[in-house]
Amino acid sequence: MRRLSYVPGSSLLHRLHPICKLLLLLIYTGVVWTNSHLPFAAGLLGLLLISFWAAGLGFMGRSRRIISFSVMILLVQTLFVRQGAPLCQLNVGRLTVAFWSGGLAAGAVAVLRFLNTIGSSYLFIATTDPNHLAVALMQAGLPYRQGFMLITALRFLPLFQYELTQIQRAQMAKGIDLEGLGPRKLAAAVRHLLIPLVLSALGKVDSLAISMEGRAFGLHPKRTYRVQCRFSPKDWLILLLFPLLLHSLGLILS
Amino acid sequence: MKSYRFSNRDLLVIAVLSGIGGVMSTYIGYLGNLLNNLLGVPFGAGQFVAGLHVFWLVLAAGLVGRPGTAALAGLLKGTVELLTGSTHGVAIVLVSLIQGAVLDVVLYVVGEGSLGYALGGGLAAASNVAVFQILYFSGAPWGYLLFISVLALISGILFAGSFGKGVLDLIRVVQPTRLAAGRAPNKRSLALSAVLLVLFSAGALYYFASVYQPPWAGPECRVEGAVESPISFQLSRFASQEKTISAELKGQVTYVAPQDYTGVPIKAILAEARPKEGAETVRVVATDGYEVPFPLADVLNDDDMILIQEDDTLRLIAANYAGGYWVRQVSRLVIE
Amino acid sequence: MDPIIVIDNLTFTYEGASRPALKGVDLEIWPGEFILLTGPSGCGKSTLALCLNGVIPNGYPGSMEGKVLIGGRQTTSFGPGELAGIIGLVQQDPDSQLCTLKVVDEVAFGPENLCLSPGEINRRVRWALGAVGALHLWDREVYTLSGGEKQRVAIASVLAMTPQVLILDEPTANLDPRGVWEVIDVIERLRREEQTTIIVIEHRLERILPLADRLLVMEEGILQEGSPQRPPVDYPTKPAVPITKEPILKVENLTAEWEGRSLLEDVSFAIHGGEIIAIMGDNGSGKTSLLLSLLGLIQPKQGKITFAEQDITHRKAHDRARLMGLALQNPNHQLFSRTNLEEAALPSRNLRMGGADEGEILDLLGEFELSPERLPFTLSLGEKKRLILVSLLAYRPSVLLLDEPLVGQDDERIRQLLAILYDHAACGGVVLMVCHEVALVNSFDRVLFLEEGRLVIDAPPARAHEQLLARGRREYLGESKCVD
Repeated sequence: MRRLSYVPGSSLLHRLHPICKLLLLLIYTGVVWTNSHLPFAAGLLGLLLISFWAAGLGFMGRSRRIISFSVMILLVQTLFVRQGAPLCQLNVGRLTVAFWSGGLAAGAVAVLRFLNTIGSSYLFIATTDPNHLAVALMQAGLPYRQGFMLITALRFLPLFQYELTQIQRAQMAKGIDLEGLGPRKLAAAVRHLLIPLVLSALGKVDSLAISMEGRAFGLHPKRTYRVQCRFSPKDWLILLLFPLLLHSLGLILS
Repeated sequence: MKSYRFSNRDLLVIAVLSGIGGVMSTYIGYLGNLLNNLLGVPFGAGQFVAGLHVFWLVLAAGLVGRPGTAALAGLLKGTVELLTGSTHGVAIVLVSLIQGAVLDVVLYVVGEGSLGYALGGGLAAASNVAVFQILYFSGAPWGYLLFISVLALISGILFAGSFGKGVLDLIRVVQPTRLAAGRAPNKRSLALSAVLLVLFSAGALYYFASVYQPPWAGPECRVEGAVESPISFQLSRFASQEKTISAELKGQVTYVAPQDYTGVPIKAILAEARPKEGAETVRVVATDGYEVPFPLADVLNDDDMILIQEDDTLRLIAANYAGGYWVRQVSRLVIE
Repeated sequence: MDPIIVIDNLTFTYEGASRPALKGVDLEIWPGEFILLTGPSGCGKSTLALCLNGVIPNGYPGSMEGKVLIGGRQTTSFGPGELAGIIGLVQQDPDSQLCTLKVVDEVAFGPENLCLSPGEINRRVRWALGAVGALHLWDREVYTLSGGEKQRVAIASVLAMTPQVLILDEPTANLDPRGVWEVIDVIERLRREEQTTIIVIEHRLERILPLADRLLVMEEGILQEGSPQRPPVDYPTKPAVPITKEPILKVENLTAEWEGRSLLEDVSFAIHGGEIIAIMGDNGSGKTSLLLSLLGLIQPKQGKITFAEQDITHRKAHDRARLMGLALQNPNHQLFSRTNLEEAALPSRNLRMGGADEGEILDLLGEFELSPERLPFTLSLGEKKRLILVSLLAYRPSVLLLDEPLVGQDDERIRQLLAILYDHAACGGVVLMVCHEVALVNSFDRVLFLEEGRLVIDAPPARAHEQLLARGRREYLGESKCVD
């Protein structure tokens, strides 16, 4: 079952203001995406691993899909980038596959970029309560009607998950065989799964709208909040120091 | 209550659909992997379910019927996926947002109908290939990218466009008055359309002018560093100085028998850039960061070191050096 | 003193509808009154509620004649949302009216939208949660609540708006007997302790009627001051049929888990051909899980399931579905086809020897008044449930597993359904049915009562009645009737 990946805790990262963390994530990702220097990328990964340790998080799940996507990136880059010194050559029948040092380097850079991207994202979501994030964004100026879309969408996730399971069970009870994957079967499976899910979900919109509007949702352009999230000096400090840290890491490793 | 661009109900429709889209994306991912395994390829075939990610955006756009809906739904769906631990992290927010934006633009320009949904769904689904290509697959050849883009396009047309339209029609039958009155597409002013078209074409123009390298124009290369006049050139600029040499590639594993190569001597190119006094090295740098250093003095006296065009890229033929020095995809010559 | 609500000759027709949903409704409600409004489903009760909170005509397309005045002012003269602090509406479905992740946020939602100060918001949240006896739920995540708890939070979230009139539209319709008791307790308490004008729309009259100042009855869009008299309904009793000596279905020490949560613990029972059995228990007590694991849709962790002396514990769901037909509680999750006929034939195509018998299916559809060509998604809740039942009957599994099949059916329909189920038993079949309607259950052969995944009662109705009493589960003893 797909749940929120937030892991409650009380580490420094957990206690930072959600918007501070969001900005850190965006800075980090921006640097990761615009840089293809191998030692620097490796250094960033090191930084990330230290943060994981500091936040008291274990290794993130879904490692199989992460590994398979990494292998796929590495394969594409090493197969198609033919630069640098040739390393080895495989003969598969009439096909000759050569590996080049440049390809391997490009592959390593791309894999590190992928790992840095998802690693930092996971660190962010694992240490940030999505509810706090949405509230903080609204308090920082995101129009609250849009902000509540996120909260409402998250509110309904467990329900949709449950409905999805029920629909699959109902199909099995009717002897609809979902094993095997011909194109026609795939299309039928998609239709049978998605249509009941969509209709059931849209059926909730009416009473949800009545309930929310009945409680003055959208009545005023602004609203107040029971609890205020505020930027602490610590947040400002870290936000200022982080780019410096990245910059010096870049200088040391170049 | 103020009158808003999106009514509360519109926003809730978008929220609910993005929520299910987020929940379903894991399953769609598994389905993609299953297809890959089934066809025995490591990747690519999974693009055949790419359209299912766009399906939700098509539904939202169709039910709300206002420009901007799909982008908003895309942003929200991506965020839900991020918060539920997508294996792509923040990249998924970008991918999903772009898919929504592409769909919005197409629906705005073409209008909401079978054609708009099919075209919008197809292009939106295919757009994910471009984003991932830029991020992770810079080295992949265009032919391959084209192939998986087409796969994604077809998937988008089928699952997002055609199936999406079918489900929209069904929703209108099931909940005729309340939910899906299917607001008629806004009357868009000619001026707005024109502005959009200009922006769109400007973007395309920029891409083709500065980023894209058409095969016929030939790849570009820069000379920079300690030179009097840094230049950026295409090989055709030095056409008059072209020469043909015979060279033999001796790598650690690869061997290519002597054959003729036609191109421009590096020394001719460097002569134009005029290296500064005291410069000692030329670094030949490839697009992916691979680089090889040569002593500047040697290069300036080497008649057998030429830059040739191979496929769509530049390649260094260094007849007096081993295979590792024959840099492919040359993009810069840095003098130091 | 002036009436707070005045309705003057109100008629409303939904866009596209052939008949008006409300016809010439006149009504005056005075501050502090407690009104009970009842009537069969689809009679226009909910439409009246939506007219009072201004959603009609502001939010729904349709034509309205007559006047609705709140505090002397016409509802049409209020801007959208302006009635929010005056009229509060709690709806049926506890799930689709909560929009935030935590209980405290849900109750604070309204006051926050009213731009109140944090201190005032906290004060209102504390008061509203206290008023529904739910202060202990303060920090809970909404999705972890039971149905009754969700509904109490929904009431609190509306109370936090301090409305002058509180409307509760069938607040117990989607709840298990325990949830029904919880919510009715809250209504009694509000009546006792708060001065709010309350309108309750309900079928379960017994406990609420004594609280009410007035009873209103609506039928086909016409509103009348009513008397609570409803003719007692008599259902056909199950004819004596021979019960087989050997059990058809035997469950031994069944234990099941789902995602680390225990669903069933050490459940054992046996069912003989010809029996009709009621399964009762709170939501989450394992009723549905039991049906699902019989069919193999939840894999048991331990235990053995025997069908006609064959061990089927590890057979695939597809194989077991030939023997046992399952109808889940929510019909919306079980309809997949383009026409009723196609839907009714779907399981037969997959599961019946020799495929579907179209003639027989058409007969069954006719018997249940379902048009073969109609799109299943457009049916009413009761019709959808009947369609699913038809699809099961059409392939003739010997065991029928039915989760709340009678909810949403009128008395006439229930009689017809019972007759069919009794026939099924008379032919040696078995029916296992989740049902909380004591009047019906009393004529069944046995009651299985589940509590937190354990089977705690397995006895004929009369003895089960005593045991429930001994366990203090009065809510299961038929204080009310919840059928339209």
